[in-house]
Amino acid sequence: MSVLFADVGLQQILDGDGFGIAMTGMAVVFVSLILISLAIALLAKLIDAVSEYLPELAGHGHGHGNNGEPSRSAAPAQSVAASEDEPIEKLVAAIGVAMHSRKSG
Amino acid sequence: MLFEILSNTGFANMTILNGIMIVIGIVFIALAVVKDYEPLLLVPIGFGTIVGNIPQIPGMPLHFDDPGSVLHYLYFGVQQGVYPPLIFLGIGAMTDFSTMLSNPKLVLLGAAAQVGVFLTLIGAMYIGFSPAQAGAIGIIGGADGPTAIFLSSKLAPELLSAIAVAAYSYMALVPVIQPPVMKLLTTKSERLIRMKPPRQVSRVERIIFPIVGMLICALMAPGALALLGMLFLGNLLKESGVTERLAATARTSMIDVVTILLGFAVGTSTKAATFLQPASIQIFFLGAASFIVATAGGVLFAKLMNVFLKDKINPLVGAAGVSAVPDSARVVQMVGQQEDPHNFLLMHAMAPNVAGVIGSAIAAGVLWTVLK
Repeated sequence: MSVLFADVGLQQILDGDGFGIAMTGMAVVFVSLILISLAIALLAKLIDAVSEYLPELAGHGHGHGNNGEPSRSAAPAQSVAASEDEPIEKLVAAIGVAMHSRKSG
Repeated sequence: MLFEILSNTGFANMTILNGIMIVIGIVFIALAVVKDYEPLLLVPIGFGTIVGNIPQIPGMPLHFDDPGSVLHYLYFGVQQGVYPPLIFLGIGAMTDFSTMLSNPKLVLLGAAAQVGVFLTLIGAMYIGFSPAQAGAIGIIGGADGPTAIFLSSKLAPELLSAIAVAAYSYMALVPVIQPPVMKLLTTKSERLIRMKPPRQVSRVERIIFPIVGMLICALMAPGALALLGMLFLGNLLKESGVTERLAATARTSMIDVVTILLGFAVGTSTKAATFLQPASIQIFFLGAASFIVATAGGVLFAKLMNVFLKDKINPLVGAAGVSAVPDSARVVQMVGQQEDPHNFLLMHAMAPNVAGVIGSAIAAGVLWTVLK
């Protein structure tokens, strides 16, 4: 480890190309995040444009909190259950009506 | 025989410096327990510091730098940079990029705050550190512990313990360091700016983003591949909707196990002989400076953006670009609400906050590439 302030001076920075490294580093960070920013902006537009062609996404039971979008897991699960239960309920009701009319008739 | 046993006890070999380090370890634990400062890390680091400063017994491989010792194998994950990417996997599985996706221009604040990394690099070189050491010290300004440990292990392993302790100490002190800088650089009217609520982000966007983000980052800065590859993988596990079990493991059990191992292993490496050096004091000063500069960079860049934007940004949000998720975003919320209790900046601040994680990892990747 170095001794406290043993080699203080601008020459250290010039010898190690400190300014060049710093400027290159900042440039790469900025360009990368600008590209990400542009990609995000384009992604939203692209998805809007092709949304009707996109397949229905499967969900496996977890929501996403922050944006207020309803969880995909709960809603389809309930609707599937409802759509599956509905014919059974109708069938039970129909059998019940048939048995009642037969007994009373 | 009795004399031999006594001479091989820790008491017989204890030095004043070991004692000082043990006290420092106890202080870390006390700060975590009493003040709630980064307890998940300061408790393992503090305890590791105590363990690492139990005096060496000649002929017995006990410490992290004794080949064959258990601590040596635990430290392997730090030395080779294995633990930080695993922590990033868990962070990715916890992170919701929705706020960033809803307002992509805020991503730039995460880039601006990285000025702290690069100005600190210049400062460290000015006072005599080698370029590789200066790069490792500069990354403290990225306010991301795992990133700091990862880069130090690659560029300056001899400074790793001091850098890790400095990075986590300042992350714990974010609520103390940032507010004065934020208030100094903004006017009251700027702090009162209310931002438009973010738009809703579709699930398709959230699924595609980790893949696109990883491709851009890895192609621009391949040195960040391990960190950002794992971060985006964790996020894809979370957002895909079909790997919830894996995402749950990554963000709970796995990150907890790795955090214990990382904190403890870093703590054991703070041996008095290497830690209690003038360079450690320099690193602590430079670390504080890097946090201040990074905060200022984010705030000032937000003000610059406001010159061109129709929908103004509250410049306080720029301070969250330093990473330190989610503490710096909470600080933005706190400082904003001191001026206007009904102004909710937290969700806006999360955008530069997660962008800062990406930005600091890219900065680390660039520094590793240039200075290796």
